[in-house]
Amino acid sequence: MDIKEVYEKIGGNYDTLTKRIPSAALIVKFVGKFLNDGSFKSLVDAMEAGNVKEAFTAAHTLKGVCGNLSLDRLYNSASTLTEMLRNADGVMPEGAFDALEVIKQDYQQCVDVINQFLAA
Amino acid sequence: MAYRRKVLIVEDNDLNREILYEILADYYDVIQACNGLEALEMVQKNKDTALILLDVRMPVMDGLTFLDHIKADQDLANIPVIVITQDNNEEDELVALDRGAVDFVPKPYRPQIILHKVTALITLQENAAMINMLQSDRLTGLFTKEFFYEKLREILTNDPDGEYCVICSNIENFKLVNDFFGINRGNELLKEVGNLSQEIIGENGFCGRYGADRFIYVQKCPKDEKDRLDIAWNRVKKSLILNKVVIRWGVYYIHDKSIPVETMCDRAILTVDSIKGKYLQYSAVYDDSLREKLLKEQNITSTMEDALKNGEFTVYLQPQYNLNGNTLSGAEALVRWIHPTKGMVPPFEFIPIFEKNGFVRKLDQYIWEQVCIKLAEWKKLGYPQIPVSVNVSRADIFPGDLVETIKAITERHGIDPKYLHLEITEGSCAENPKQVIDTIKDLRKLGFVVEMDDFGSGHSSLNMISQLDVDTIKIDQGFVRDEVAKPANQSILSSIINLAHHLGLEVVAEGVETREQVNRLLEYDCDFVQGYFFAKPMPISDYEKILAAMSGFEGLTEEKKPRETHAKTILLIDDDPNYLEVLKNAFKNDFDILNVKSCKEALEKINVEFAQTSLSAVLLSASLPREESLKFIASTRQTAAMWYVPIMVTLNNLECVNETELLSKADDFLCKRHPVFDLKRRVIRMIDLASYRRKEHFCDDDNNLDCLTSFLNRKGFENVAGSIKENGMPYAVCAFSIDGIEISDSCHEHKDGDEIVASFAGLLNGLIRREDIKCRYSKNEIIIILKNVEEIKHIKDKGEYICRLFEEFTRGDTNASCSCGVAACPGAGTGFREVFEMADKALYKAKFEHKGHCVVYEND
Repeated sequence: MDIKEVYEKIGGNYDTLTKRIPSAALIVKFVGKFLNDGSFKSLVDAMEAGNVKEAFTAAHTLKGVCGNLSLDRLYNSASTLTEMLRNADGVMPEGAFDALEVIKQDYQQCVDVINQFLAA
Repeated sequence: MAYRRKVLIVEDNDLNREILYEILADYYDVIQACNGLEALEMVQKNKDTALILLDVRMPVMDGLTFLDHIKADQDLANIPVIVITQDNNEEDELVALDRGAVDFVPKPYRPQIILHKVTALITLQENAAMINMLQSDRLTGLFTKEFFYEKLREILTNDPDGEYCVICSNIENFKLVNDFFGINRGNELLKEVGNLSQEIIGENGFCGRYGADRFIYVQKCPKDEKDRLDIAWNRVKKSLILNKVVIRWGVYYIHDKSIPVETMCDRAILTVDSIKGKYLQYSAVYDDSLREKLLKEQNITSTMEDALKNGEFTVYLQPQYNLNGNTLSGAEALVRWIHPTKGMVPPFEFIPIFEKNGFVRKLDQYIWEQVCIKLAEWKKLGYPQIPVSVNVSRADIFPGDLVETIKAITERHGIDPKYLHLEITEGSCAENPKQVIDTIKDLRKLGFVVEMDDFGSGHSSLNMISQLDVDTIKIDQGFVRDEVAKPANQSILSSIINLAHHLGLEVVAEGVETREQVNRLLEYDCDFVQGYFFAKPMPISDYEKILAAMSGFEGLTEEKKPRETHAKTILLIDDDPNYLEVLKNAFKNDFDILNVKSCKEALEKINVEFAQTSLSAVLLSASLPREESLKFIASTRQTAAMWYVPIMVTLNNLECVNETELLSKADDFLCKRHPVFDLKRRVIRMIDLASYRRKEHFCDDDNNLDCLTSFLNRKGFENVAGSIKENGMPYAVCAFSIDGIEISDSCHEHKDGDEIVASFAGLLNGLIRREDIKCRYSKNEIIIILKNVEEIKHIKDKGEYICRLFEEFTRGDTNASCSCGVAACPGAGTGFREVFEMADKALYKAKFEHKGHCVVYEND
């Protein structure tokens, strides 16, 4: 499996990414670092704590990171929750947790595939 | 390795930060911070950060707050900041730009664009900084010189009708401020002046810094600019940190806008420089005479090198005389510029310029060479070796190679250093006294004689005389002139001369122009003189004539031959051969007569033959052409050897008394018809009177002379008595006593007998040699000391003769008589007092036993 295939599997847009970051080695490096990014965990913790503001920040950050790496599928799910939480004004909006489930799924998939790729 | 600039990334998310790092790390040194506070710390530590990439939305201290902070810090405010925004949020972008960000990049990151923007902004910033540096003076923030010129051109072009002026200000003695208070304070002062300048000039113009301590301004100006400035600056002066600082400014009104701006500024500078150091004058307005001065200066500066190459500079020599022996003792070398078209350029026009631009070094060395060449020539020709003084400027001393240079020159021409005297002004020491003191020491060690020049002009200090350790001091001519104009008891010149002598220094007086000055200088015991009264500076060839004449004397080598103390020749300027015979007869035992037939001939010989022929007197016929005669007389006043020589004008008949001018310039006049006895008497008397002006260290002081007879009075006589031993052995003392007439007690009354005493004195003058000593010991007693007496019998005869003559004088008065006592000094062992008493005893005997006769002392 090469990095392109990784991107296909996780719903990322390799072509767009290459245009922005031409170096494949660099992409591989960043993808590896993605696993260490703490915004996903921060989001989950914040949601469970019911902290709307922090959840928003975390979701926003996660979205940004995904955007930088052209992880489109995860980007979209993170984006959805971000918008929900943006003007929530302290009250956890309806459907937030559902959105979170989608994020969890997409995130897990990314993690699995990337780990697979790195093990090879 | 190429210089890598620093970029600071401020981003809280690790991954994002890492991505940014990866984007930039190949080209830049990346430093990172994860929040605003940390970012502040990082940038404080790395003030040379070239750019900051800032995520706007951050915890702890968000991006905008961070931005505010660094914009408030003068050191950091110029670091360009690119903010990273999200979601294409235009509001965010605007706010960031508003707060001072230079640009923004959106998320997601586009590495190429980020890199581009970072590089472009860094370059832009650096260029801006460089231009700023070129435009603004770093210390004061005012415009730099070049930029000022630009702005001035701009303003004049854009406002062709406006009236402007350029002002240049200068801080006096700024170097001293740095020296005393330190460079930091100096810089603070400059900053303050810069700020105050901007306040004063304000909107009316702009300010620039022109040089270390100069500022230049342009202003739209009303007519009374200078006054306004005066007021403004006076106000300002009070607020200066060093409020004793003196600032001067020069104003140049711009009338002709076609002149280059550099020239306009130059004129303002010229104006402020023209009042440099002028007490109480702080501002000036340019006028064309300054420009004239500048043009002249430029002209001189541009032609000086060629002039030197073409030999347009020549050396003139002004003789110096030994005031005691009246001999030539030296000469001062003075430079003259003889321009092929302009003629003689006066030294005051070029010397200051050469001193300013350093050309004086070359000129001085040229002069030293020329002088040494001549000294060598003269030595070879066997002329008397008399030293020549040359001037040494501060510019010669400062570089520190003076000693080697002069040594090399003298060695090259085989000149003994003691014949090249070096004149150094005290003013040369102002900046670095130690260097001058050491240089003088080294020069003297090599055998050079060093003279301190221009003493008494400007800033002389008595302390300097001893510190500088020179051989001689030269008293400035202004000092001589002023001092002599004061009464003797108010003059400090004599104290200065004494002081110099005490320190073992000799004294030369410069610029001596009148006989009065000479007399005073004699009184004060000055050693050497130089001045128009004796001789003007003359071309070398004329000086050589003097030297050549001197070497006619045999035995004249290194030592200056002292002038003979009794003169033996009378010069007769007359074309009447009969009168020549008369004179020859009259003076056959006492004087040689030298005859020339015209004043023209006399003038030709004056510098040469007469200089050393020891003339006692001149008899000038009034029938010779008047102009020539006047010229001749004037000439004698300017020739050292001649000014002691009295001139008697002889008249054929009394009608010539109309020649008042001639007569007033002569010492005496006489009709040729007078009897020979009278002629002799008058001539000898004239010679004697002239001789009283000479220094025989007691005769010149009026306090020592008797007012009626001009003989010594008792005080003068006492002074003399001690010196008899050395010269004049063997000698005899003649004591005369005039009795039977009424003589007044002092100069302020008059009795008939006074005339008799005066005439008696005149008689004695005619019969006694000049070098013999005559004294009016009391109101009716006269003592004569006859030197070099061969036979005492002659003296007795003479004494007797005088008594007989007296009898004839006073034929009508049977009571009047003159008696004489004579005593010869028995041997070297006898003191003068003893001989004097012997004569007195003899006189006593004569008065009471042989009245009206002469008695010789005999031991009984």
